[in-house]
Amino acid sequence: MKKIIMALCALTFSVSIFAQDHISKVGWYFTPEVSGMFLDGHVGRAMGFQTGVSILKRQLHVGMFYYGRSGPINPHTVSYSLDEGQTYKGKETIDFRADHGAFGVVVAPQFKLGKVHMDIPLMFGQFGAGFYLTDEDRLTPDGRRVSEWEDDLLGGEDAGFGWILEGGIRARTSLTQDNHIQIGMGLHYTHTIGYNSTLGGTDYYKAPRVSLFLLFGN
Amino acid sequence: MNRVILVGLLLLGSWNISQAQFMVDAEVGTSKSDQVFGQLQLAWQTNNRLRLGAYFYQGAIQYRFVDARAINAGNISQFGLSALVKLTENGPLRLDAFVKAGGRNIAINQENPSELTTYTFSDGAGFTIDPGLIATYQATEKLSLNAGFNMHLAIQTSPQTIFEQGPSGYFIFGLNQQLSETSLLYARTTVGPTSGAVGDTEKFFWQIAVGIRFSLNASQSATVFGF
Repeated sequence: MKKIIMALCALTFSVSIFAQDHISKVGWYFTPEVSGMFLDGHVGRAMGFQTGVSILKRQLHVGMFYYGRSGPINPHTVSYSLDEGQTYKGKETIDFRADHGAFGVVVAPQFKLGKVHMDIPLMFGQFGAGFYLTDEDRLTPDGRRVSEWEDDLLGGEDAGFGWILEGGIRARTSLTQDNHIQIGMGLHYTHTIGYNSTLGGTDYYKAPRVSLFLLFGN
Repeated sequence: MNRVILVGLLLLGSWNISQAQFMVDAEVGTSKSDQVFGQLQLAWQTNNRLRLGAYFYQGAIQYRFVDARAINAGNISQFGLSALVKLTENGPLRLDAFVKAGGRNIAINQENPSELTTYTFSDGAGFTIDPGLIATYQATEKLSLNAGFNMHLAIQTSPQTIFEQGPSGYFIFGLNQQLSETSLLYARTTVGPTSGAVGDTEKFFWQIAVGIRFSLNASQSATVFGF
């Protein structure tokens, strides 16, 4: 019980410190973004955000990022011919959709070029991506979970996990006079380490990405 | 245990009850999960930093999951608690942290719950946790904007335990228009990629809601920030 009370006190104290940041050097930011990834023969659509604190006189952003390229907003499919003699609902060739998600830490030095705010976001985190059955094919013929069928059809490597490294440069300008809301664009390059899958191989997600984002912060 | 009760009473006593403000939020909406839903929330603004609430949600299902298999017909009921804490405020911009947590029950349509006819479905139960951050920008005297995110987590506990969804990051955007001293109209959208249950459940979520907030203290205005 003492530990719980001490933890609550520590939490209250830390929140109080954060609450005083209008008189400290620590600011905060939140940047929702949409992006396009230049993948194999098509542009993948992703959504995500970054959030964190702004330190060193607002010259460095440190925080977390999260983004995902969700299947339902990415109609591109990859056809796969099943092994000889293998069928799924009577078909020998199946179209799979792909999705992926990434989560990690971001460090972004800030600077200005004239009236334009610039930053260089450097991201590192965990990465997961998969190829999955879509539409009617998600209604499995025997009631088994669809992921079990995907495992069987793609030799257990329908999805893969690894690390993501991403570097980029972004420019933004203010939408409000007080700079609390800004809009911007960025160019990034995504590199994955350790990822592999039957349909994606190891290089599917090593690709450039462009982002359009809003920034809320102080 | 007596010490815990004493600390609790001291904390309660430290809040300025006379300044406490009670609010009711009533909202309706639609989402990828539910054709239509309604939610009622009673909130207690204990001081200018902390808001506590309780909510009840009821929806008509159009795309949810039981046992990591899609269902298309049934009802969902959810009851939960919420907390919102002001972290910082700079002029027209304010940042709050929040968390919502609740238990839920899915009552399937017994006759035709799913397009998946090769599986026998039963009702489901579970809980959700939604921590997040929400920024509020006071654009004019009566209009404010919200932007933020929540990390949605859903766990099914019955018929079997399944990590059903998340944690997934959803965007939140909102508009709040003060109607009178004690009422506020708001619109909110929540959208984002998601995953769970080894990829078997929802992959993309969206929700649109409109609601009205009433302050139950006639002398105090309905606040525009946060959830």
